[in-house]
Amino acid sequence: MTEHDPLTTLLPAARTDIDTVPAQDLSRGLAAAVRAESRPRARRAVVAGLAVLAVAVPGTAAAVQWTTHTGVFGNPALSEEDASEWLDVCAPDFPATVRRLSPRDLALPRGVTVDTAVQDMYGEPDPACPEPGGRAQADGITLDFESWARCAWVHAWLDDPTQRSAAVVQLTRLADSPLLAAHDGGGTVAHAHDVAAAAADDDRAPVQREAEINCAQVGLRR
Amino acid sequence: MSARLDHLATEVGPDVLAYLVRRTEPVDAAADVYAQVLAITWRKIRVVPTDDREAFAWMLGVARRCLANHRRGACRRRALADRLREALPSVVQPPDSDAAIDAQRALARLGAADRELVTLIYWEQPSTREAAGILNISESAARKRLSRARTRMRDSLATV
Repeated sequence: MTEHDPLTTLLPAARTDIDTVPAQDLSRGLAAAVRAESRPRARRAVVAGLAVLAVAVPGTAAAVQWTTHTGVFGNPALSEEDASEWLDVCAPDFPATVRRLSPRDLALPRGVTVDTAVQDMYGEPDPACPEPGGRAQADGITLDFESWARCAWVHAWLDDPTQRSAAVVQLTRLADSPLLAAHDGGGTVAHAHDVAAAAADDDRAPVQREAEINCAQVGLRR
Repeated sequence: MSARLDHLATEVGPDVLAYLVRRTEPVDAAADVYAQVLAITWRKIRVVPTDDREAFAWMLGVARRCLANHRRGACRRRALADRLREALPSVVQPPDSDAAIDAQRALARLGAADRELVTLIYWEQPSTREAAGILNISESAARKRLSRARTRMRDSLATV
């Protein structure tokens, strides 16, 4: 578009607009409904879910049949889904599946374990369980572990000078993750590299900002 | 993450909704497509760009694909979009001028791909690079297509 481009004034005149303020309210309301319907990270009720199941379903046969594996796989051609399996996050075997989906070579700071990550990400009861419908994709769960580990290293870099070298190595490694690249909607990998580079340069401000903005919800209960 | 979705829904969402309203008929159908866009954004919230402008381009890319699904009849009517569907006609401000009619006639003479790029550039106003990303074409292809479409539109307007 240039200043002398007549289309600059003509085409916007043919544009349908919407009234922003009510649209914001409606959009916020819809976002709340979307959040209530499903969760980006699967959270499930381990004890509560099983207890309800034990009361509601006599015998063990039904419990055995209720598995996290749905056999439904994402179709990237039709939506933003990846091709991994959709898992039922309320099923009794979901916790075991979550552990299996943690990356085998996931490096974590001293004092932090995969159990810490599992508890932090999936330890809270999902209010949607045990109703059916809570679903998460397998690759999304693996990516959750990577994202969580990245935040754990951000906090380790900030809080523990003895782990800074290791944090730089792991932040760089996690920024190079093929899974992150595959799910990058634009700028996410570059941002992860920026944070890793700031850590390597001993530039505290970007790492601190990352901890406050993108890693604020990561609880590091050691 | 909930706060991030709420922020996107408030600050970026209305522009994404407007994108859909401009391209759906009747306009209330945009509610279901927008619900799908927000659901995908929520599911992918970990990888949505942190910058709002980049997030807008990301969401437009999602919206474009959801719109294609909608046109194929693959978008189901969702109860959670009921309120938006009912309210949407009252927040829409249609264009109302002779110039708009001229522009719409000229747009109608473009091929579908050219028209999509031109309306994207002049209505939602992403950069050419961002538009190329949204349309999943190379930036050079977007530039060539845009130049060709502008010439055709000017020629078309000159004959009106």
